[in-house]
Amino acid sequence: MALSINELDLEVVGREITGRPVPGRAHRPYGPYLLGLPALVLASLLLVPMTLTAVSAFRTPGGFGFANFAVLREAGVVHAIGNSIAWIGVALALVVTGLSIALIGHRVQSLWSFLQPALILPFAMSTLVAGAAFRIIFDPAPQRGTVTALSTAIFGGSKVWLGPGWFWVVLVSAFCWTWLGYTVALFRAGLAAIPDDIGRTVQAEGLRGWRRLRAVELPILRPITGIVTLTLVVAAVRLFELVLITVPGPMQHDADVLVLHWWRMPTDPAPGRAAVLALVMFVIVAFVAVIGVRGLRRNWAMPSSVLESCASRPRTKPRPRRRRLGLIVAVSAGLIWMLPMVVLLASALHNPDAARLRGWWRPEGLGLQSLAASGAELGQALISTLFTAGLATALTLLVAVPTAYLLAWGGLPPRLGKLVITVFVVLAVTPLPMYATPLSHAFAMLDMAGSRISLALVHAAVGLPFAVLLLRAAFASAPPSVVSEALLGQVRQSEVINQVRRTYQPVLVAVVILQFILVWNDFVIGFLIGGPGTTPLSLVLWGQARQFATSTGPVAAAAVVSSIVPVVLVWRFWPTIVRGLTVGTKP
Amino acid sequence: MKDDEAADDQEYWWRRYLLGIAALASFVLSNLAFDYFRHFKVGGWIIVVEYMVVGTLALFWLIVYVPPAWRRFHRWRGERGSTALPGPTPRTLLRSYAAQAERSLITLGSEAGGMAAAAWFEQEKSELLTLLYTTEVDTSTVDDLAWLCDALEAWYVRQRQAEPLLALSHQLTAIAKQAQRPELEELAAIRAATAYRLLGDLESAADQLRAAIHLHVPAGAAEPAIRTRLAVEQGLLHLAWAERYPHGDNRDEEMHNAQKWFDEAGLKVPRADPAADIAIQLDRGLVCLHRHDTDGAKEHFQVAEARAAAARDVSAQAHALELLGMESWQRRNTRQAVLWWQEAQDRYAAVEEREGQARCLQHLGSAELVTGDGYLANILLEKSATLRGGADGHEVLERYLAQARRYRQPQAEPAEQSPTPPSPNTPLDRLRQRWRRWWYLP
Repeated sequence: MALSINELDLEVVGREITGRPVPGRAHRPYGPYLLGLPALVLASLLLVPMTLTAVSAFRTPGGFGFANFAVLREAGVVHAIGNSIAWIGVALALVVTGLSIALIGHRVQSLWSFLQPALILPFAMSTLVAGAAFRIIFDPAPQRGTVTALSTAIFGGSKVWLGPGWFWVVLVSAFCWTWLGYTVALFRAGLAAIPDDIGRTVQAEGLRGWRRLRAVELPILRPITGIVTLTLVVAAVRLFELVLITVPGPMQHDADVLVLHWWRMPTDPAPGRAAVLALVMFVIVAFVAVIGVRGLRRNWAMPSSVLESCASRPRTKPRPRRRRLGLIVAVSAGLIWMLPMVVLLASALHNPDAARLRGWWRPEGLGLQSLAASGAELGQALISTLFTAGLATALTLLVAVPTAYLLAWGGLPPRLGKLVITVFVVLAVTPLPMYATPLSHAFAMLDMAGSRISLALVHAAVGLPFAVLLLRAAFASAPPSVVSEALLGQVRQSEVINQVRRTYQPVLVAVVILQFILVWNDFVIGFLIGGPGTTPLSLVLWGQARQFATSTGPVAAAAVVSSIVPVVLVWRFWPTIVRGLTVGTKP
Repeated sequence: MKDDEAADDQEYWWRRYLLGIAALASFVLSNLAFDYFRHFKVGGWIIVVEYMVVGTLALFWLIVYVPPAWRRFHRWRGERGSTALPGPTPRTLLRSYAAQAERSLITLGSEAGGMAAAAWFEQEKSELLTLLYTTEVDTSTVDDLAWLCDALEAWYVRQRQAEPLLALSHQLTAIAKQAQRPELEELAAIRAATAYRLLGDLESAADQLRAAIHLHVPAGAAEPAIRTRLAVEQGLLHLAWAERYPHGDNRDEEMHNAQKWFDEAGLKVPRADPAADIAIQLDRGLVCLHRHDTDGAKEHFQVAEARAAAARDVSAQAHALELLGMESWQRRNTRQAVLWWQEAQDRYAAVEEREGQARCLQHLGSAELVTGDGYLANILLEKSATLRGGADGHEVLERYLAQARRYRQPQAEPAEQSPTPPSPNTPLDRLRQRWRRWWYLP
């Protein structure tokens, strides 16, 4: 080899490694492993009870065996499993719908500008609030229920929407209302991130319509499709409070889903039967997760943010007629989507009697009495929820950041790294029944039931896996050469942090906001594990909703008050949240 | 090195038990605390924390200490098994040469015995080759034959003798196939790639590396070392490709690939292999040098020089000094460059590494030619050619030697058509020129 340097040709040789190969492994300092210690401790809050549940599923009075699995043949259980699988179908249909809306919005920009705010706000609201809103809208009394009143006015009569069979429409509507915005927003972000040169090539090749979708857009959106599908399927399998609040008592058997059936199942004489149901749920979601989350297992993500777009290539404006049509469709759809929020607000602004007897659209009985009635009860719950959500978020962040750092470039052997990520993926989707019973028993045994700290700990443990996976993708977006230099001790690790700051900061914001909102809106963990004394907001709302027919006003008021904080947070930070959620999923 | 590690182990034996002791102490203390706080009804937390801490410490103890203990057990069992075998095979000559080759390989290029090792290789080369080609391959001889190959490979690479190296790698391939040892086969393929690269046949070198990658080597103690070697050879091959493109995207891409492979080698290199670590540092610095990143290059070369000095690896130290000279030349610090090359040349001479010594003399000669003293340049370049047994096949040396031969006599007027080197013009420069001539002239 010759190298020409400053008018001199120098013969330069590299250095080969010669002689006998030296046995041994690469130098891996054990120090970084300590970064994972807090996560191990926190995750053991879930792992240990999960193991106990799994063991309990196989434990029979005579030892170990499959006797408990006979529960899967019971008619009630088969019905619940069937319903849960139907919900998975709904979730998949919602993914397709979300993708279609995102594709239309990508081509007609004006549609999206108006539709986006209406679509994303429901994502900030709890399922309990969504259930309450839809129960008011579909109330069977024409003087109260919006849809019933409209049907009666137009057709002279109406179906009983919350009656047998038809309650499914209400349930599916509420589910879609909550999740559609999230789905569309993520797909939109993915479409916006398609590199400009690919767009130009596609145009030059003349690919249009279905061919363009199949050849370009769907393959590029595959990682985001994985994450969206995973989230929705897990939400569908975990469905609990929506059925509990929306479906009137006598019909709840028809609407039975796995979690609800598990909750109603007596655990005392044969705990193994309930454990089998938990295990079945776990296997379903873990299977979906491991298949659907391949996008999160990438070794190195792309370094740039997905929302970057090339300013040099302005979008082609659609024709005026198409724009006007898009505008009209968007405004109409946006108004329809806002209806449940308007209904809740209007009901909350009526006094309790007016809300109970008349529709929200009537001006009679306007006043702040409903808000005042629920306010007294909500004051304590607000403080309690704020404390729990704040503590859980802080804990999650404190533990997730070092763990994600370790997973991204802490020098873990590749196989161990993949294993840990798979464990986190499975933990992220584990249904609550897998750990609820042993945890609540342990808390009761240790006199910790009803403690806000223990509730916050459980929330932190539940939120940890998703936070770690998101943050890892951000850390991993650092250029490999910088990472390897940091690992070899040739550059400071702060150099790597600087390199990933652009991707790391939005993910951090996304993790904080999402974790805070999830804990704030949580019902099921507080209900099943928290115990008396923790008084989270959603439990108070649930307590009022048990007499739904008589306390519509206070329920709506409580729903509005409890939604203010998450709605404001999501409204303010939505672009950052989307950026954070899609980091590492860019093709 | 092993002695040092053993001494460290003895000194820090207590570390082995630290986690276990901590787990036990946590258990005892937290139980005491639980008993104390139970009266205040806050004991539950302590028990939770206790189980978590004790469990975690115990887990770490298992992770840290069980694998080494398992390896020690296997080693002990292997040693016991080997001593239990009936008497040694009659291949005592092979065994004796393999043992001597092992010793010479270890001391080759080192301060203690480097010259003696070089002399041994020079003297025994033919005998080693005879043994290599005539000994029957079976399970009792394959390791000794591999030792001979390892030692000869190191010798040929130091002397840049590509053709014997290629023949040697083919022989090792045959031995590995016969003994069904895929790790030796992979090693042979990597060595063949080195030989082809030295011969300038980069396509064949790439073919050999592709073959090496596709060989399924069982995971074992030597696997990281072989993978490191493969990555380094890939990087060097990309550097060689880069030389074919003086400028442009292709060159940048090859440089990028070389950098990538050296980075990967850096992450895989076994901790007990300082020579490999130094080689990777030098190669990474070389990439910086090609990219005109003088700061990066200097950093890598200085680290390599320090590590080589600490390991008493004179050959690697000389290589680092030689490359430091190039880095100084790139900064236009010509005096410092000459000083580095002089020092490198001395060190190469001390371990009888003639090719390295010849290279340094060539750098010095060509530098003299460019900076002013054609007479001295001629002497240095002639010495370089003598050490190499002639300038044939060394393109750069041939070119500079042809220019320098015009200044065979100190007072001789240069030919009219020849480029006139700038003459020393200050008393200090003249003094320095005299000093250099005195130093290099016999």
